[in-house]
Amino acid sequence: MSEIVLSLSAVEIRYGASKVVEAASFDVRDGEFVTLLGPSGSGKTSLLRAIAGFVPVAAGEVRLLGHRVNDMPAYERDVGLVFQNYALFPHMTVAENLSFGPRMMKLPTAETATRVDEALQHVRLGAYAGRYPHELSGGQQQRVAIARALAMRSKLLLLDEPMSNLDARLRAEMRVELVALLRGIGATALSVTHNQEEALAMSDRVIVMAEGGIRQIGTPGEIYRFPADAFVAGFIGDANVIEATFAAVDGEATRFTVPWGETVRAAGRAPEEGDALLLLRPESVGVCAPGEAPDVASNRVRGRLVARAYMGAYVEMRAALGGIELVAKVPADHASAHLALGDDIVLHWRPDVVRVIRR
Amino acid sequence: MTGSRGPALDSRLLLLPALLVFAAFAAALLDLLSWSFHATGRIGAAPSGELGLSVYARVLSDPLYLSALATTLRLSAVATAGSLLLGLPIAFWIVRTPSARMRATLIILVAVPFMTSLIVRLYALLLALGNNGLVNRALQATGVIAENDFIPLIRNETSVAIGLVYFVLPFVVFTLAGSFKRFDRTLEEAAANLGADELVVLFRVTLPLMAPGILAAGTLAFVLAGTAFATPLVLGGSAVRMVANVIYDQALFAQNLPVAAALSAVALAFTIACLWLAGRLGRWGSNA
Amino acid sequence: MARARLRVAVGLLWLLRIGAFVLLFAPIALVIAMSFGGDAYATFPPRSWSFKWYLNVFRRDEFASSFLTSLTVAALVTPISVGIGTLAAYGLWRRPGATARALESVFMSPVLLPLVVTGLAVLVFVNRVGIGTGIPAIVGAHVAITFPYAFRAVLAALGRYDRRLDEAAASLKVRPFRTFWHVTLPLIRPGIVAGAMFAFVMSFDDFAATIFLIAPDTRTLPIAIYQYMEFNLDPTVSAVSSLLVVLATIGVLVVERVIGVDRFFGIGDSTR
Repeated sequence: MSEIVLSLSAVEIRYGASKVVEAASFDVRDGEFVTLLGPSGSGKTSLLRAIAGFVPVAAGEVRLLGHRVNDMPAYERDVGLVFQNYALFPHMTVAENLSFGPRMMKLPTAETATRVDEALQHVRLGAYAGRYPHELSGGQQQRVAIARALAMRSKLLLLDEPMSNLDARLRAEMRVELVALLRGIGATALSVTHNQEEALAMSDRVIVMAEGGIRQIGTPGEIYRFPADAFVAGFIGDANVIEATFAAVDGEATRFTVPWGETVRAAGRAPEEGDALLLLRPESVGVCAPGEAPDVASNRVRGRLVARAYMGAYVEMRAALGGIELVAKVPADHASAHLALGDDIVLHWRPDVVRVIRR
Repeated sequence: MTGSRGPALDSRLLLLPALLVFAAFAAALLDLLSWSFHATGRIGAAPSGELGLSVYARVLSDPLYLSALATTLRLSAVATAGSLLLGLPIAFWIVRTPSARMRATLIILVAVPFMTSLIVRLYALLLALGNNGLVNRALQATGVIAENDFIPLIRNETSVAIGLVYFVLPFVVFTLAGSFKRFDRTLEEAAANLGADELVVLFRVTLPLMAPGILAAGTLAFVLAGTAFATPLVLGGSAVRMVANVIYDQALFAQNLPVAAALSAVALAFTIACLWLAGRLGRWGSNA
Repeated sequence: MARARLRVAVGLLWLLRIGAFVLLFAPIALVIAMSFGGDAYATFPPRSWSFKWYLNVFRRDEFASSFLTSLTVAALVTPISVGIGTLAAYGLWRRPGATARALESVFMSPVLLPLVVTGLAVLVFVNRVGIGTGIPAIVGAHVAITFPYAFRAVLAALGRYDRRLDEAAASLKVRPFRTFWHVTLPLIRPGIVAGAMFAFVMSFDDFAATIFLIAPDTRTLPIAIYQYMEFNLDPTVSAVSSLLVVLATIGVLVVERVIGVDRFFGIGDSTR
């Protein structure tokens, strides 16, 4: 087991009288890339700033490498922070920005120079050492901000919405680059974002937050396929969330009563009786015309096609039935993609793609 | 800014020197004002006589002081009107000119007199308005008055009024320009689009919206003119006395510190009242 | 009809503009012209031309010594006002809130005081305390007068400063004082310089407060000029006045170079 770099137990953060973060507990291990994911107002940024030391912790403990740092001022903590707006010192060159921390730590000149060079090499900005921040593009400024944090060789790197100020194409490139870079130097990182694609693509583990609380911690696969509750299900990727009631056990599967009157088979035994939510990912839902026969074991339901959107790689289709709508994503060249609006269609899915979530 | 208590302490320490200076000054000011409650006293000696408001009664009833107060109010009003009249067109020009160079030039042209010592400017006015000064010489040269005749332009309220306008004008220009630059020009464009010609736009849209800035500049002018000392001294001689001159005379020549202190309190009250009134008018204007 | 009305209005506008600039500059131009006059008394137009009045300025004791006094006072007042003002502005900026806003009003309050009241209050104080008038008293009064302007200039500069730069420095393990010195100070320097210039000029030019605090052998240049012109009519006053005009012009041009006159006087755009 690799060592624990950051450990939070029951951390609570208050702003005035209201609780911004409640009962936050998690660990970050050496070499991991962990992301705090959530919508605005979820408290993720406050938590990051508390770890950095800019926001006081009202209750609970924050430990860095085993040492309690609750009362330690920001400038004594061994964490590097990459700011959302980069916060590069405008009156210093790139090299001076990078060497500022080491210089203030009174490192020998040679050591400082080595660190600066290394950091610049890591972000591939060696030729820009003498430039000023305002002479650089947004992407370059981001890399300088990362390099500046790297030059400190802190045990933990904190990233505040690192991709949010980049345009879409640059974002996709930087995602890959950044993860490769951090993995290459063995850095441990905690990142904050509201972009679930980014979180899934980059992280070893994702911590999903909402309204000040942690909803789920897991690998991207676990979060996506086994969301803990309706919020996580809805926030990560698209989802059909169906209210259901336990009906009966059916061999190796369970049957649930659903709003459109019939029952749905979900693979596996649902341990409890009572109310549940069934999660169905649109890409797991197939579409065919009435009369075409899907696989016998599949669940199926008939509805009216009310919307269709061509998304390039796939076609999104919405069907209305029994008072609700279900969404399906179908490959663009699939036969069912040509069905017309207003037509009756059949949606079908296998029992093993149905996720059961407690209510 | 961080979780520990350190920086809070630092911040309070930073304020200490300023607070000390303030405390000392506040003490001095209160001390001065306390003199106004004693019947007699002079600088260097202890206050004496009975305690009470007798000094204020005297100040507010004696024609000598009352005339100084009346002169002050009168001249301040004239100076305010004059400086606003002259200042508005320049402030407009500064803010509206498209060329940044022109704007800088105009500001520099107003700034140079502003940064020149007041005494120099008053002396300059003395030269211009004096009996043998520029204006009189010009009038003699053009035959408006006789060769050895002159129009007395100094040592009267006219020259002091001109001097006050001169003194106050840069303050007014900068205050007006500062508040005009925030003005939204699209409102004027909207009015023009609705059929208003330039004059109507000016009087119905622009000026009303600039009213808060005009009020601020006017208040500043009124307060600065009301408490002026050097201008009436140099240009008015002994003929024109404003409150500040009386304070000086009473404190240093008449050895009458209580009266000087009482008049200081009046001057202070005047300033605070003007600012408060301006604040009220401003709020009333924006609520209307 | 509207056209004619408009033309009259525009004409009036330009008349007022020209009138205003005439008021501002004609007297000053007159003074400069007179300073080169050859006669012993001020006449216009001068009948001959000479530099002798300028020489007289430097020869006459009262102008030389009072200039030095003014310079000394301003040189003492400026660092004190700017130093205390910077500390106060930084202290308030670090902990924003209701208390900070209240203190801001307190620190700005001396602008409400008429200069004569300031002068008189300091006079009474120094007599009470036993120091007497002279340079320390004048410096004290000038600090009270100039402090609000220095304070406000630095506060305005801090308002434009990005607080996250302080956080960035802290994330680089730089202690607060070092952060102020290496990051904050260089970036607010223009504001500090502006405040310093303002304080220097206000101190140098002051008349109304200073006149309460002069001593038999201690007076500032404006006071010396006034006393001279009470009894003398020769163009020496014009000469020393012209020198002060030149000084003011240099000062304004320096300000334009360093931070721009528009920003200095509060008329700048935020895009600069």
